[in-house]
Amino acid sequence: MARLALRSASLITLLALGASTALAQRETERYIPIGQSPGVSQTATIGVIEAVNAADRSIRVAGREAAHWVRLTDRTRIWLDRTHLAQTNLIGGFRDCEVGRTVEIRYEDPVSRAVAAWIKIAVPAAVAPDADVRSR
Amino acid sequence: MSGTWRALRALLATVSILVAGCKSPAPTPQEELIVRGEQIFFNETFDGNGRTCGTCHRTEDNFGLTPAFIATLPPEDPLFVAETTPALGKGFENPVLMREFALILENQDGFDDLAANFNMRGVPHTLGLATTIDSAQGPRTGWSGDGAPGDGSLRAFATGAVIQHFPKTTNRIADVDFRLPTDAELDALEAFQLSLGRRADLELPLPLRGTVAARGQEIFLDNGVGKRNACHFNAGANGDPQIFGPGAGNLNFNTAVEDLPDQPADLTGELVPADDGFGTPGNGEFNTPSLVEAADTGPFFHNNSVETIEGAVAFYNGDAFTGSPAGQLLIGATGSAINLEATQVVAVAAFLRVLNALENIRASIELLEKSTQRGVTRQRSRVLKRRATFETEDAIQVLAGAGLHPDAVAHLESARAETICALDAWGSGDRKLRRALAQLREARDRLIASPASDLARQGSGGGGS
Repeated sequence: MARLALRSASLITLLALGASTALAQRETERYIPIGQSPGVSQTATIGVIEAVNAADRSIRVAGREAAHWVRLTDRTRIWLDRTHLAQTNLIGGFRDCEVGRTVEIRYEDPVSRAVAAWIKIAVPAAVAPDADVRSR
Repeated sequence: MSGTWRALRALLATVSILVAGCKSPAPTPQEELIVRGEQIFFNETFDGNGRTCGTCHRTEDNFGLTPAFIATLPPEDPLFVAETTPALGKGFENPVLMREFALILENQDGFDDLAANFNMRGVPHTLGLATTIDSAQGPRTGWSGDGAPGDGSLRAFATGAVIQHFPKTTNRIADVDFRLPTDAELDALEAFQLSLGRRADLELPLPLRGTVAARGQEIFLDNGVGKRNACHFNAGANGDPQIFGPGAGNLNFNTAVEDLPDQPADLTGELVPADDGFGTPGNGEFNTPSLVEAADTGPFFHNNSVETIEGAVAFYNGDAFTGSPAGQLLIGATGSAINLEATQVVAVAAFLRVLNALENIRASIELLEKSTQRGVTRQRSRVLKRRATFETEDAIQVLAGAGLHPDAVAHLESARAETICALDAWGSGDRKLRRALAQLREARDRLIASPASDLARQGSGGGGS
């Protein structure tokens, strides 16, 4: 009986540990224009990049809420939104975070808003052809 | 004169009351939303390549897709856009794998290398979603539980599906290659999908009449033998709350289906990259599907690698599962691997077949009853009756496919015939429908000893849609 109870406890612990969390990759997000991602308007920020700190891979964003710094990590997905130019959206990099560009940011933790899970950067028409050479 | 006038007024008042009493009750806002969602699901192309949600999630095929059904489609069906649209000829689908194994191309890990970075997956059915996608960590959609963009919800899933499957070109530019669903459309699509199939989990054990199915249920529930109830609690898609905690809901596991040898798609020689499941890069985990709807929704697993429900049950005996992270966890917790003998595999499968048939019957009764409700248009009634016919046909197939309950199958055959007659009948076909309903209940009584009212409640969630 004790052995059975032990095994049940083990099953509880081990199977519970084996279950993953539900953070998703959601790769189709890349093709959704800024501001149109379903269900994220309450937690995402849409604003303009005010400052960039390359050493810290951080950007200061001013949106409806007070301006704040957001860090981009290796996990952060960066996309270049060119929908308004009728061009395909691209995978971007930190170098695309330029002051004055409009961005949409979804956070890993929407409360702290410290780290970006993904960021979409609106690409101005003038630089769009340059971006075209990057991988799709 | 005034007496005549008074009498006439009284008569008019009576008539108006009678007319008002006969007026059909207006559908509820939720019912209207569901009907609107159904129209979008089957008709809306979102200005894309011609596909709709119903292109892959077929009513006739349990809101999924099988090779047998694909073989019935004409060449111009939008499912085959990769064969008919030059802009989608490369990196969009693999027609060989689609036609032979009903596999659909998904770019789960990104769209950066369309030639090599993709997965081939089956089409999961959309039945019972009201009970199968919630988890403590949020909604789990798609085969690996991470299929939706935005907030990851079923509502948002449709947006991702349009981007993945509906574009005119692989540039996937919004308002050029497709349009994104509006908020109202997403609401309607979600309502429709949540209305399909069960809206509540079963409560096992059931008083099954069949000897083999009843033994299969015992094995299924025995954590020392079948060990299935921990992850498929009550044969649904959720974890046992006593093991995973209350509200754990739907879970992901790495059961190493990908490690199976001789997978059908691999045998073709076509490029089939390994599917790493949840996340980017993936962790090898896939979502736990419901078993109640399993028997009539094969082929099984995310890659359609196993054709029969017996084969799917037997998978958990094999080296792939035993050596998998989930299998090792199970061994560590229970002291042994799953090792069912052939008779036990067949018994568990028989149990799942009977469960599926019971759900088919429940759904068929619900649809037929709904088709006769006041306020349901003739066209809508026909749609509901047609769906009931499919459910009854499925019940026949899952039982007859294993030689189970021939007496119930005979009643189901009669129910099917009566329902088809009702579809073609002049007038409402009410008498035929009543006979169909009686035959369905007779069939159910051959499968289970539970009072009909109790069983009708199980699965329906007590609500209608």
